Amino acid sequence: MGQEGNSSGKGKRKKSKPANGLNVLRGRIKDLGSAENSGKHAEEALQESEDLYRAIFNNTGTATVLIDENTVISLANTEFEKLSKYSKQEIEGKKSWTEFVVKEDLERMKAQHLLRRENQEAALNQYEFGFITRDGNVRNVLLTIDLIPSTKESVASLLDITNRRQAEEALRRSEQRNRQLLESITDYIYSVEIQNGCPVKTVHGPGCEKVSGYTPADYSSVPKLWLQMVYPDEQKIVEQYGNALYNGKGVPALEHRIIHKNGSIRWVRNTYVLKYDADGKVIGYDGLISDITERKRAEIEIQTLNAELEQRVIERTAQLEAFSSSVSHDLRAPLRHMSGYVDLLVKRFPDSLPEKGKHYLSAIADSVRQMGVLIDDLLEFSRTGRQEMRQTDLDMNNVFQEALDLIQRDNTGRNIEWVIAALPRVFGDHALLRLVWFNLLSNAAKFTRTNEKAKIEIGGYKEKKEYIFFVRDNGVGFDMQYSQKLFGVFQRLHSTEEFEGTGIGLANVRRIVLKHGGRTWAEAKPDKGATFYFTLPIHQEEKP
Amino acid sequence: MIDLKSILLVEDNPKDVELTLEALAENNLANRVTVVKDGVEAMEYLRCEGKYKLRSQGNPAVILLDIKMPRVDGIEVVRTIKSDPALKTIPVVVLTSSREEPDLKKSYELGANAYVVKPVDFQDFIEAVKHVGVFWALINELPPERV
Repeated sequence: MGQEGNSSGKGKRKKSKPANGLNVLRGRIKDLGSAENSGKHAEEALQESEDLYRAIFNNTGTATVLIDENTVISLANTEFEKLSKYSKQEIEGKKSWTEFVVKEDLERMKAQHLLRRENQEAALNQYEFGFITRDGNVRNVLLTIDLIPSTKESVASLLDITNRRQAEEALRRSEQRNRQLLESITDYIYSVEIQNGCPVKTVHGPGCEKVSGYTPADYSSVPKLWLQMVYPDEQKIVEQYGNALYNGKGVPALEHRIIHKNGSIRWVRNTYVLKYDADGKVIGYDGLISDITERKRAEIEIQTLNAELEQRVIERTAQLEAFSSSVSHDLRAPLRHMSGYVDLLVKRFPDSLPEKGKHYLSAIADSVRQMGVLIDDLLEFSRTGRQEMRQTDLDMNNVFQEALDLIQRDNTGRNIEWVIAALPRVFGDHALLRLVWFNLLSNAAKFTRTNEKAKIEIGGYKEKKEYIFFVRDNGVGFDMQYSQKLFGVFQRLHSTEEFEGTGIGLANVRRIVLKHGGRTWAEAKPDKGATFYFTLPIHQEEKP
Repeated sequence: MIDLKSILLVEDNPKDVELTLEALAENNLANRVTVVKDGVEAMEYLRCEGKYKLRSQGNPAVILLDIKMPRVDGIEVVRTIKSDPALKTIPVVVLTSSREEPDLKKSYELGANAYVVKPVDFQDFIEAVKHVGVFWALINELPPERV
């Protein structure tokens, strides 16, 4: 500013390359001048015009350059100096515009440069590009460019829109953040004002748009809009809840469906909190609406899976029942025949059989009997697994006593000292728990058989969240290293010769206790007796 | 003075027939046992049809009935007998290998009078058959059925 014309100066500059662009300008001005002043003052007028246009060129608020056919900048104004941070002397006639363009935009712009000179109409007059300043910064620049008529030169103005672009970007990001925030909203609060048992005003929080598709403005302009969008099957209950609230009666949270503005069905959970004035009169309520569609979807999926699983269990159980029935019938029949014919043979021909022969037959009969017991036990075991539990509140003392009566009947003549503590009440299946006691007591009686003075202790106590029951004997015990085998099906720690049995009793105990949600274990030492424990959880149904 | 009526044994397995007859003999119940080998024959006998067209009239004192049989099984026979006014007073003892609950429940639901699981041990079986005699004896105290 204030140094206009310093380098190019005034007067004729014909064929002076750096001022080429200005000559063009002058040419145009000359035409104008000649039209207005055809006289001798033409030259003078021209000079004045040139000064005028130079002043305009230099003082326009936009960076402007003239570019010749060879891409060299012939003239630059003060704003361009400011934009590029080069002085006019450094630019004019020396620098090509290509030096100011970022690599990514260069090819495209060169093409435009050529196109403009070959087919002016087809070239773009305005576009953005990356402008490199002296210090290497890149600015977003909006270029407006056109050829100067009947020349191969162009005039280009460059508007630095970097700040505008940044502001736009910031705005875009902020909008995106808001949108994400809004989309993540699944809960919102609304409040209802009540007068004389009628709702008079409802205000919905801004989250209502995300959840229902309707804006707070929609809600205030359409009365009962919420009720209208409730899924038809649930309108009645929603209305009932509303009426209760209008009359000041508290209601639990309600889960129901609504039809979103976009037609989709959403699940919501509606929680209500009544508001009262100082006199205890209802003045309204606040509600929290939560979109629980995803949770419901998951719930329904779980229900479907459970139903499928249950169906599969039913099918498997039926298969198992068919199998058990077949085992029971088909395996027992041949055994029965063997037993029957051996028996008849011994009975009908007692004199024709040598002692050895009778011994063989007795061995056959023994094995047949044993196999019969094994099959029965296995079927019994499979039955306890399939049996449905009928759990009730039980006096464990009675359940225990029933089992004890059976054991004592089977062990008359035995000298057993019974030490029996009072047992707590439990929640369980009477028949199954009796079987647990029966098996444990029967074991205790069996494995103390070799003792002169057998002692069997029974007790039960509460510990943390369960009852622990035990049966302790002073019998032959066992080696603890095999303890994990104890509760397995057909697992035995003693030979059948020492102590008869099939090894199904404790497997049954474990299975029954597991079904009740309890645990089983045992502690023992060889010849020092054994203690068998089982636990039952303390249920809420039980009275303390 | 007592007209000892017959026992109808419905059993398809010849070994079971033989052993059951032996067990009945052990209990002095073997006289006048009629054996048929499935449900179809059992119904023909009871209704005096087919090859039993010419048998002397009258119902057996007791029916010993196996459950698993070809053609018409024991459960079906119980159902038919207990829904027939002319037959439903005949005591039916279901004799079977199976102690599986569905069979037990079903036969009782249909009106079977007793259910005996044939024990593997033959001596036990003889004991079980002895109880069958209870029905056989009881029949003499029942009011005379219509013929």
